[in-house]
Amino acid sequence: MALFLLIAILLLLFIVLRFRYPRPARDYRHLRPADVCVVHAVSDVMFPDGGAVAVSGRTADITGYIDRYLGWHAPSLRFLVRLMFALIEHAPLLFVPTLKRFSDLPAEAQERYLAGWEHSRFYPRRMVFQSLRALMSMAYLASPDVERAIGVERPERCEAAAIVKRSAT
Amino acid sequence: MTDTLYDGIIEYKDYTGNRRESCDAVVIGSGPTGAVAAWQLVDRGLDVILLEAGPVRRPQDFTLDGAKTLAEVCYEGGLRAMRGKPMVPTMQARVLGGGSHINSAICVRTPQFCFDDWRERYGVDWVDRATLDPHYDRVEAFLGVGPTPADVLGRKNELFRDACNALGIHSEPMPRNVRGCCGCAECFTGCPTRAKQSMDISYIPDAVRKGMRVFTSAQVVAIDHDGRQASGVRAIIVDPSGRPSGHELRVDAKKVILAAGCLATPVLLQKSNVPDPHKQIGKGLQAHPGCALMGIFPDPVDPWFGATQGYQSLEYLRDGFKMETLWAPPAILAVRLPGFGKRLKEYYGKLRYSAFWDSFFALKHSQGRVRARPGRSFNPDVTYRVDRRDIPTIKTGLIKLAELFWAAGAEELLPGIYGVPEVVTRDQGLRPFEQADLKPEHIVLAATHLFSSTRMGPDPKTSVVDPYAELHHLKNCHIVDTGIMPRSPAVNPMLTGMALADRLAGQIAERM
Repeated sequence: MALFLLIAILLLLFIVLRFRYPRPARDYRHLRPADVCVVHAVSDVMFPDGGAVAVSGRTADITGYIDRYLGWHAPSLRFLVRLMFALIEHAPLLFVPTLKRFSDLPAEAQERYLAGWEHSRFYPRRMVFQSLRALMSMAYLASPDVERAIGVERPERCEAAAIVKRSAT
Repeated sequence: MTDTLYDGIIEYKDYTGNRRESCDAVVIGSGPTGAVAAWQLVDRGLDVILLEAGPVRRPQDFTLDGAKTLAEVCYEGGLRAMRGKPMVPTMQARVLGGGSHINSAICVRTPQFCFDDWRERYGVDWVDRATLDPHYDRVEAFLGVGPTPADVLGRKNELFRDACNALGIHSEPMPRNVRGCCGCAECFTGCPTRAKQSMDISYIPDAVRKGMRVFTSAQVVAIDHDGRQASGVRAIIVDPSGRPSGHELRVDAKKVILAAGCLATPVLLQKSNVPDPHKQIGKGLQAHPGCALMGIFPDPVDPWFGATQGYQSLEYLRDGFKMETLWAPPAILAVRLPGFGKRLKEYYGKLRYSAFWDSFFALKHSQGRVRARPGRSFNPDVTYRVDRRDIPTIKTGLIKLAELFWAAGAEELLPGIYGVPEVVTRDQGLRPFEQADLKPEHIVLAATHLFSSTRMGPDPKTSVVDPYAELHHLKNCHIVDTGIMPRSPAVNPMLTGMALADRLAGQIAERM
């Protein structure tokens, strides 16, 4: 019995240490530390520094947008989004395979791992990737910096329309 | 600028307790079909109440953020999808004016060959162009429907026009219900200049001036009936995000007119235990799944300028698809771009040089079903299966679209289709599309046109409503939304839905 308890305590300790996530640098209303870790990692792979649109995912504050985005939706949807993050985070065990979490993988391995999801022959896996990319893209493109960088402009004659909306946002 | 536009309309803040009202006819849903039907009934002197689950949305509520708009304006936060292979996203607006508030204002008349099909396959011999044309005329006149003016087309639409001309196929400026459009391409997030004649600024305010009562934030949860005839409806009051307030609204009415849309109407009927001995409610759902391609041009296109969807080609309607230009906020459209990392950013960098054009399909063999979910949820459980026999139609639609892009001078195409190269170059031409071994789940589709979930027809065994849009098995309960269309109208269904509603509401009023 004592041995069993000792093993259980050690196992619990291992799980807590192994899966503990650092406290985020700032507070988020809906994202938990684990979610923040995943979003940061995906954001770094999907929207790294440089390239045709120089703004990175971190600069565009993808994580902050997703936190707000979750607040616009019902708890059931928030749960599904978190489930998606958890799946991406822990599925390296199945698809790499490795005991490391996605957010702990080296950058190149993260890219290969996400490419595996994107090009999978298994439709539901591709669907998960598309949903993840859609969410990240919406967050990235919502940034005014990104919008400016890709050249979105409002024509002068519609300025009145744009002003109405800008004043509301 | 429109402070008085919504005078007399009951909003969420106006409810202080439970209410009970009575009227001649209660109309459920303020989208295009409900608004037209309600207006027609009021115009004929009836006492009408219009119920809408969503709030009033004013320009100061608008945002350029497409994802936020979807979350605020649509059921299920705009993330509704029809289950199947592939999953097909769809959306339903929850706002005064319904879908007309966020659509591209496209108004196209259904061609006669569709009505012939309705008659031959479903015995619907009481609707054709001759009977509907006066109603099309009336709706179009009311909403100022006309071709998109050349000065607001913008390059994305002009390129489409020029490509059609170069190939010698039909094209025309999109007929739209707008007055004074400036071409800001923001239809999707709410027309900021109020040029779009959505129902919340056209039919509904006019009907209110004629005496109609409108209750927004009223989510209808049950049709009152005794198994033989309907006598009213019960609604719960919900806040703008859809959360119940605890207050209720009960409306006693001689006629219940359902225009909640072809997903919500069958759910409401099923939840209300309306007699359905042949299990027809929710069966036979049809859709126009669409697929867009992104073409990249050598010179800037600036797709964010110009009428949202300003040009169309009806050349291939009989072949099962329609081609048109497309625009939505980058955050919505770009979700279909391939890749990630610097490759994805490269495509974003080309958005200025891009145009999105789509084909949507009237698929003969594909269909789905709408079911009520157990419990308190009024969100529908929707299944839709793209049948493999329809793949050749989809493939042809994509090939013709690619042909248009090449004719317009595009240098590259991003198909976003599994099994087709991520980027198709001009040198590759149509080969990648022609050689692709497509399966339904390979194609990224979306569908905003849904119909046929509560079909009209003469036979109660194969349809839900009769020629007067009255339920076969429940008197005084009518359906006037697109669910009654027995099959695809081949084109964007809004105008035909409104014309049908105009006609049916007139007939309902005459029979009262």
